[in-house]
Amino acid sequence: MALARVRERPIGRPQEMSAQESDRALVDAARAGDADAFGRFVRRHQKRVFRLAVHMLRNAAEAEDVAQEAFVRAYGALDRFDGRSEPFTWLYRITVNLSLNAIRSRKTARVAGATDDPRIEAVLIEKRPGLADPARQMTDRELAMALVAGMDSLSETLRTTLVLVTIDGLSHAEAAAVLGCPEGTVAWRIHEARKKLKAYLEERGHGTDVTENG
Amino acid sequence: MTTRDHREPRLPEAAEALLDGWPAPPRGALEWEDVATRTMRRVQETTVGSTEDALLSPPLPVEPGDGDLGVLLGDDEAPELARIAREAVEAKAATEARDVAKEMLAVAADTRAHPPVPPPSRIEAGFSVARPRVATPEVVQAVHEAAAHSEMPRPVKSHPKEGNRATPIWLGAGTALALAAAAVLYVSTRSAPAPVASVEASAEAPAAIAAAPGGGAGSAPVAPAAAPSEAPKTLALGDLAAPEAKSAPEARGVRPSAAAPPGKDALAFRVKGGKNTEDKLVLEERPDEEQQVQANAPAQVAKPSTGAATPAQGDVPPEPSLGAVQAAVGSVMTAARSCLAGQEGASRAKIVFSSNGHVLSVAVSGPAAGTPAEGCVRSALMGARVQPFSEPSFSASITVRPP
Repeated sequence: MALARVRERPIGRPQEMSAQESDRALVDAARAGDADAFGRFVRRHQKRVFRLAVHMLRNAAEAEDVAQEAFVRAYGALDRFDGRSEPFTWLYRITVNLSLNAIRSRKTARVAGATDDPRIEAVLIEKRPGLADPARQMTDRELAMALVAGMDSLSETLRTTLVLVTIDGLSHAEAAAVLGCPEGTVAWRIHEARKKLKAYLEERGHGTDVTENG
Repeated sequence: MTTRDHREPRLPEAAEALLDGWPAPPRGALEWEDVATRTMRRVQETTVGSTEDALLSPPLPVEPGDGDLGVLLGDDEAPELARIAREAVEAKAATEARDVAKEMLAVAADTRAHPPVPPPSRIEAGFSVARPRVATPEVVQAVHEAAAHSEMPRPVKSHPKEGNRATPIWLGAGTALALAAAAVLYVSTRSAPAPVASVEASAEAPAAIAAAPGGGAGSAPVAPAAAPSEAPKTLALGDLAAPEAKSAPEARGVRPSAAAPPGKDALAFRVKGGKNTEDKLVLEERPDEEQQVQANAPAQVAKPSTGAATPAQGDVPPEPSLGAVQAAVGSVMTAARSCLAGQEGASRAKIVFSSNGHVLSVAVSGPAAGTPAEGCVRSALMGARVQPFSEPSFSASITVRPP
């Protein structure tokens, strides 16, 4: 099937990373004044935060600004990190808030075109490396474009939840911690987002799997 | 890995493969290091404690339908459960309206038996009436709505002891007597100055309805239809489903409640839900300019006394029924309250319904205003729906308390 191959995530999940120095330990050290500890926290999470911001904002430059700002604001709020949640969910919440603020402060609704949407190029480069078949590339591009358009058609709430769970790989519990809602609500939103996305794809001729013969 | 529910709608495999771990635009290690260095440079210029609290709040507005886990309970039974829940709510609303009509019957009977109006400060049988009662057009409207709703279809029979056989007769009699009661109430109290009547939900106060502050029964007459343009109509809903707390007799001031909130014009009911017995739901209609013009029109002036309290033409009532508004707001209240998680104080929200039953606008005031919770509450309340009505708009002011 097209693009059905399993690939490793380019960005590891925080809890799958080296446990030698936990996020909590880094944050605790940063609160105690260890700036290097916060630097390690930044380097550990910056790719994921950037990816989240890209999917929220659909603009690489804005996403970079928001990602950087998220760490700055997180540092500025270290005194209010109570330890009840994981540091990365706390950081994600700040990132989502900043992204939503950026979206709402735009003077006009930005609609990323196929040529400048950073998500499409990223997924085509990362997910289909080395493939030279122009027909397949075209098919993949069309599907990617339909997918991002479908995601963009979702409400902020559904899209953000979908990004956190489906794209970023957070569990429902982790997403619930980020979004401040019950796990069941996350489950419902994912169900709803997938249902709408599926309908969107079906309307555009991407509703069925293309099986490869031989 | 992602916690996937096997019942989640499945996209084509190719799309699933794209979604799973969709990457960010690629960057080299040096580039990432450069970004981290720049970030840390800014971090070092930042003081701990400088970040505003709003950035740490739950970020997203509630999605309409949020929390409806019925669809996740199973492939087939889920829609059925949702339907049952909806029917239960509708049945409750219908039953509540029916109860109001029933109480208004008692009002009519009492009115016939005791036509004189008690004095404003009269204390009767241990109950206090703080102010003279006034049967305003709002009261007439409420009576009429109760009568109208008593004829609503009831998906679930909630009162088994009331046989179906007697229902049509009862409904007909109820409608007639309720209208008669409304007329009697209006005629007997038309001299009150400020046609403001409110029905407030109160956990402690079983029931009481009083009237506008100010002059007594002999005060200057008030044009019934012009009144709404002078003062906003205010109707507050409580749980009409608690028969023992119902207040029809009190509504005419004959048997007012001892626990009626002093200084308030109130018809109080026990609040449903019981979880937060201090919840209040206040409905108020504020006629806009167009409504005021209409209210001053001669044809409208005769509204209370000429049967204008009957529903508008066809099946569209002038305003959404009390039960319908209560059910509509109640259906989104849980979501709205969840927005206030972590907050201590209650916030207020004014919901304006358009004539098609949809919410036109929501204005949030109180602690939630200006915070991310405001958008969340607004989004949640925007999902409320009532049946279409003929008036241009109808507003309901509610109190939203933290869960």
